[in-house]
Amino acid sequence: MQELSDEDLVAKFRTEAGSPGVETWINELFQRYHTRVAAWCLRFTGDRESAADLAQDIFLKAYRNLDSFRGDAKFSTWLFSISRNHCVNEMKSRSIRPEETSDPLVLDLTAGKAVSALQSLENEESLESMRVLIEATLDETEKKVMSLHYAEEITLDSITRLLGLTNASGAKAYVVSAKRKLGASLQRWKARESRGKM
Amino acid sequence: MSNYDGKILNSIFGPTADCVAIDELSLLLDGRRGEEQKRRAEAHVEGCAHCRAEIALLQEFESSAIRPHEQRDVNWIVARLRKNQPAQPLSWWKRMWTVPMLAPITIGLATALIAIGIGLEMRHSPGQPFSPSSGGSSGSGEVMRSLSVDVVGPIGDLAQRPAELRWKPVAGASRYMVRVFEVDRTELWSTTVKETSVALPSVVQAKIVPLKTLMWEVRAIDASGSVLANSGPESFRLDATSSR
Repeated sequence: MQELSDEDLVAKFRTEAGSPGVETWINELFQRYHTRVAAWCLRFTGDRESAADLAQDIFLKAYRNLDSFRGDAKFSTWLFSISRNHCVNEMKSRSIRPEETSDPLVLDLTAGKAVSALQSLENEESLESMRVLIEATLDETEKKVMSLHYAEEITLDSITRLLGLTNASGAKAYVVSAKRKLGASLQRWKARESRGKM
Repeated sequence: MSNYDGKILNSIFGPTADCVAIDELSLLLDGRRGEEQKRRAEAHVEGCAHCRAEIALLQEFESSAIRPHEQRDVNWIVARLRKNQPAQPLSWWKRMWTVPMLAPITIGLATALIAIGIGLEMRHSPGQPFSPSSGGSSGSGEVMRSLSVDVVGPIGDLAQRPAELRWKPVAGASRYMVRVFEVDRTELWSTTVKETSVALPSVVQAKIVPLKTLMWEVRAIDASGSVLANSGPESFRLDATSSR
């Protein structure tokens, strides 16, 4: 059975549906991922009890939705999608919201008061310009952390564990540094725009 | 930071119109959608922090490397997962149902098991008359049969106090075990006789009062001590107008 790929095991489970012993294919397949899903859930939650519950739910969901697995994709990627979505949704439903860092994103230093410079980024063109700015300004870890935290709404503690960040304050430090860099870049960007209009 | 900023940051770091789901992105980058598609996907990922973050997570997931401090907890979770697999292997008796040729055998086996179970239950039921503790059992060798002992009486509402219990003979019976008990199964009296009737003793007579239901039953026993037949519980009572 070891020589069979993940996708082969799914195919066998499907073609032999209703036959005695058919569950051995799917059990073999799931056992290959027990450790990975367990580690994933542990990193997401930080405690093994919750992680075990999440992992159990993930395999149950995978089992029930196996019909939706397309044969051309990798089973690992499909299971990853289920795992990520389930963990994100569960954490949201438990009202574990992403922590906010205390630093405001951008300070309008010239006005002497805290004003979000992001208010000028309402259109898609500006957003695209900001993405280019991000690519040029932030380091790779900062980009990942910001994306996972603000786009995926994954908590900073979970991101720290998921990415295996070993610095003292984990993902939070990357958010703080990313905000500072973005603030400075935005100021320069706005200054250039102002000069262009003059 | 305001919610507004959070919304903007979500837009900046979130997926763009060019981003695709991770399973499709994975196929594109693997070249399974063709070289041209692969080249385009690579170009997109190079400038998309969101997709790179997704890929980073996928790589973390696919990596089976467990960090040393996680090992104990991961082992514990895995042990729980193995215990509760969603696709539980079928036990041998469930498998028999899935093999068409064996299904009739399984049905027969199941029927036999049910019959044995019922027999055992009847033998060991605490409220069952003639249990060994009641002193009315013959001990080992009892076999339940489908035969019944036909009772003559007393049965139902009576105008007069009964003097005896009477039943019809059972072929092969060497003796009869009789038991009288209250409706809550509390035994009042029991005895073994060779005849097909037995006089009610004073201890039972004293309990026969108007509108009070008493129950009785009789078992036919053969020479080896096996139960040939059982009457099942019968009941009687004196009606309200009966004379004492």
